[in-house]
Amino acid sequence: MSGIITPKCPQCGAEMPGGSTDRVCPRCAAAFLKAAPTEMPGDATGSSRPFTPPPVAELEPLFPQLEILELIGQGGMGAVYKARQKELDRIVALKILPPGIGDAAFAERFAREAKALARLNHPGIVTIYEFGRSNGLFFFLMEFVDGVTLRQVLDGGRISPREALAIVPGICDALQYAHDQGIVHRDIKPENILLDRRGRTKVADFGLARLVESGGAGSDFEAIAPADSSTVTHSGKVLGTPQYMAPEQFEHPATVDHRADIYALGVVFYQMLTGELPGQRIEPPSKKVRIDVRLDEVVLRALEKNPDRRYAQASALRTQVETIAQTGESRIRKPGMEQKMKRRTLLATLITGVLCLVIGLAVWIATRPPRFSMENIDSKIAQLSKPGTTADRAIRVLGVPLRYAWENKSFRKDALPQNYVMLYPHNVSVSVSGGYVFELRCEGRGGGFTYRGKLHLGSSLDDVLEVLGQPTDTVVGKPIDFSARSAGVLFRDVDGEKGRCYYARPEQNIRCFFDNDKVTALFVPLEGQ
Amino acid sequence: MHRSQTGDSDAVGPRPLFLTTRWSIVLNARNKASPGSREALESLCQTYWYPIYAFVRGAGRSPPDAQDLTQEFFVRLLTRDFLRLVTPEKGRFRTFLRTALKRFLANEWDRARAQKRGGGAIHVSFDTDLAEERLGREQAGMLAPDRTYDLRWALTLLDEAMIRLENEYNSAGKTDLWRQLKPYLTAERGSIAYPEIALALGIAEGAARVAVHRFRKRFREVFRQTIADTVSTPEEVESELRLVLEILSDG
Repeated sequence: MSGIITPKCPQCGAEMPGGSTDRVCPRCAAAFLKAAPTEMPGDATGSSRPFTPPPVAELEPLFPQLEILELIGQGGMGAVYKARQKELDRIVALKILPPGIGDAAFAERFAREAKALARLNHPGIVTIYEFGRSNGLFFFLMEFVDGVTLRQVLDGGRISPREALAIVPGICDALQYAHDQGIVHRDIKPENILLDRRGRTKVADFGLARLVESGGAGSDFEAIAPADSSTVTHSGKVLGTPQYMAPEQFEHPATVDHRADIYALGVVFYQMLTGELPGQRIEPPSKKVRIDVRLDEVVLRALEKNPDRRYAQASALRTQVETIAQTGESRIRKPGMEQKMKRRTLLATLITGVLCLVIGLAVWIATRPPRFSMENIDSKIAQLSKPGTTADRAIRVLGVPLRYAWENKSFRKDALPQNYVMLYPHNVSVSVSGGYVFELRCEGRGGGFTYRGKLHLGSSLDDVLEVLGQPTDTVVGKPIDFSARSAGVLFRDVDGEKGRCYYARPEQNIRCFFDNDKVTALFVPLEGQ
Repeated sequence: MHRSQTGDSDAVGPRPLFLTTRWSIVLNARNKASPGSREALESLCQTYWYPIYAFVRGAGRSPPDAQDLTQEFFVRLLTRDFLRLVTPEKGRFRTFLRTALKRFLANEWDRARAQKRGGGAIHVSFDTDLAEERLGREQAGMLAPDRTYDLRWALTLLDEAMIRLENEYNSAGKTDLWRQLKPYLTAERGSIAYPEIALALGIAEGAARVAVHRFRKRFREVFRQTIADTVSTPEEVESELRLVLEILSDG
């Protein structure tokens, strides 16, 4: 044995075999690789499971003081349920963070941050009543807002500039108040802006972005890690919403302050006015829609890449917006008259503004689809269980769907493709083809109620072909002709069960089983299957 | 529902990307002389030459002999001589290579014959001096040759995974990040000094947590991919992975 000193691993103390000493200790590496990986919310590779909100029944025992009513929303940062506080007999919102979000250090930060958030007491901010941890699950009890999110409003169609101008000041107020308390939201986006039945804005999820980030899964990953396409592009599961994030949140996360919120508000404002996100090169809103050109300046200033060039305070933005709203399309008056005219126009415009807002809100509340709820689901489904039911009607009765399958666009009623499935929470799915509902399914209620509209059990092959069209691809087995009619090409299952044929449109994953020319089963898979 | 025949596209899910791992490329292209296949095999040989060389040395050959024999072995491999062999375990590159090597040595190819052959241009280069130095450092004298081979294989694989990971970070311009994070690759969760990392990199602590997490996660992925490159079916990945980890733990 020569005098070779065998290096030892600083972590486990074992002798490191020759060859890999400069890289890593094999024993430690093996130990690490054997251990189950910890998951972070927002991890989006095939091996990790996305956060699925627990069903109501699972949550009940964790919150004995609450009656959990239903799931009303979910996202990368957790899930929200409508609940009733039994003792106080009031409706609240229960928000839970994804399980496994953090360890003891996180719990400490959670408590500190939650205390700071609970101090926020403002009509424009969703109030936090309680926070805590139940059986390892971090939760918040918050004010329940009976209304819609700005996201839902935007998805239903662009709102008018007047409405936008009525909404923005409310958000500014809330932001200014929070900023004065030293709290930055960091995740302003339409999903976090609620509008109640009276048209008041309420900003939700204040400070949660920072809180979740402290658990280890922040949104400013782009600047510090190599591009990992699975996490970056997996929409809906990424924490923080990149389109609304200020540039400094990516580039210099340590320098982020309240002005990031102003940027995000700028994006939202832009979206409200034009219906689109700003994009790389920002086109002034007045070039896209007919609005007061002075609004361009406001929006563009909020969207300045350099935070120093933005509005320094949310209240400043608000003042600008209100000035523009009040002076409307008034012409330039003679200097002497200005004061008096201003006041009169101010009053008149205010009244008209409020009236329009109230009427406008009333109208869109009445015609916009309600948020989905499981209340009376059976009767709703019964209502829709008639041949010839249209997709429109389904949406109106059931409410806004969670998402729809096959094409990852956000829900836009007028842009729906030919064959698709709409999904509502609680596994209610509606399959539509050619604008007609042909399958309406609600899992788990009385064993699964299924309705098929234009295509149904017992439909003939001709119906199927009419609705679904000719099959376009070979799936399996050899093609056969179905009876004497040239009804397209069908395929026999390899199992060769007698009389069992099916029709498939592989690119859309529809399968239809026949027995003697009658449909016996119809499958339209949900997203992700 | 329906079963798809081998090779048919199953419309239900996306086609698995497994077919692009190196060894599976080689095996599937066995009957065609495709450049992609040769490239894949060359790349595999380039990565795993050391266990081969060491095995030949362990069989009692001198360094110069071992060098020639190893070269010759790779030439034959790359000119498809050995791929025509039907062996029960050709499923995994590690075992295939070992079996092929044993046959090769058992046929008593001596130095003279090896020299005569020459062979075409082969792109597997290795550094004998480095290999000898490493052999000298190793303690593995007591294990059976197969076991030694496996151990060296596992270490080489681990090295390869680390090299790939480092290259990823370097080519993304994140060399600083790599240097800061590398010591924490296998650290226990509780002992990671996030504030220090954050300070050294000039980022927020939350961002440091994300960076560490992603770094370690990526290592897992790269390691798994490195294993996958040496097997021929997705099912084998799991068992090969477990085996390699066992070897690394005990060895």
